[in-house]
Amino acid sequence: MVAFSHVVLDPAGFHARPVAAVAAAAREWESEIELAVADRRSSARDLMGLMALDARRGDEIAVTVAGPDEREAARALQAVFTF
Amino acid sequence: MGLFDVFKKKEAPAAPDTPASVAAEAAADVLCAPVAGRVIKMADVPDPVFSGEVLGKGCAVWPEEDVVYAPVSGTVTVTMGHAVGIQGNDGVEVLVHVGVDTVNLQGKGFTGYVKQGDAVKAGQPVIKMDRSVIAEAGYADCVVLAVSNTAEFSSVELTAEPEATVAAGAAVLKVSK
Repeated sequence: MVAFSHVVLDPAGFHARPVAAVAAAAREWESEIELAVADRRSSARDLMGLMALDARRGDEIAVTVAGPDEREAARALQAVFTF
Repeated sequence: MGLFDVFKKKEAPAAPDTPASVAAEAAADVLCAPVAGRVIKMADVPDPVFSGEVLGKGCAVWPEEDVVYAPVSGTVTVTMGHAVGIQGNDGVEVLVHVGVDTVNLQGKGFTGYVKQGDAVKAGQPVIKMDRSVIAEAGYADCVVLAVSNTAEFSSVELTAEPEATVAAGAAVLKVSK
């Protein structure tokens, strides 16, 4: 398993645009990718689940990637956590 | 802050009355127009995140009225001022997103009538927008209707004529497993 975290900088939070970017990136890989904010969790492929994480500016998103291509997936995914 | 500001706050207007529901042409495989106006294909929404169907297939409506209604019956999963997510009772997950880049308004110009966990019926009001606030900010006000779990369906089809004007609650999308 590979894990990384990201603190939301965007004043608008983790809204439709970054959610779409994360989900699109996640779909490229075989590994299971999960995002967690406080006690809320969602698969990175679940658009509505990601929005329901309700991550605001300053919140930390913990990302875990587990599967056969986890290293490459984590690296690719990190590149879209720019918000 | 002046001494009387305390009293001024108390005079803030009460939450506005919720508008009436509209009759929706609801069915298990149908999504209804969230607002009255001109229907367009998702590909014609002026934002690649929608037109590229990254947030799901669907359509959009250029609004002619201010009240946005639930396109399906279900449970509210997400509310964001300018957007509402609904888990439909019949398996469709839908995002109703009012305008492009309206997230930057941080709720200004939007009145919400539902909260997370609420049960809603198709045709029930969910958001009211102030189109003048959106226009002043320079944003497009088209109301996007996206099926978030598009991957679970074999097709999401526009059943309304593109560029046709529809009433809120009119059937516009059909999903097939």
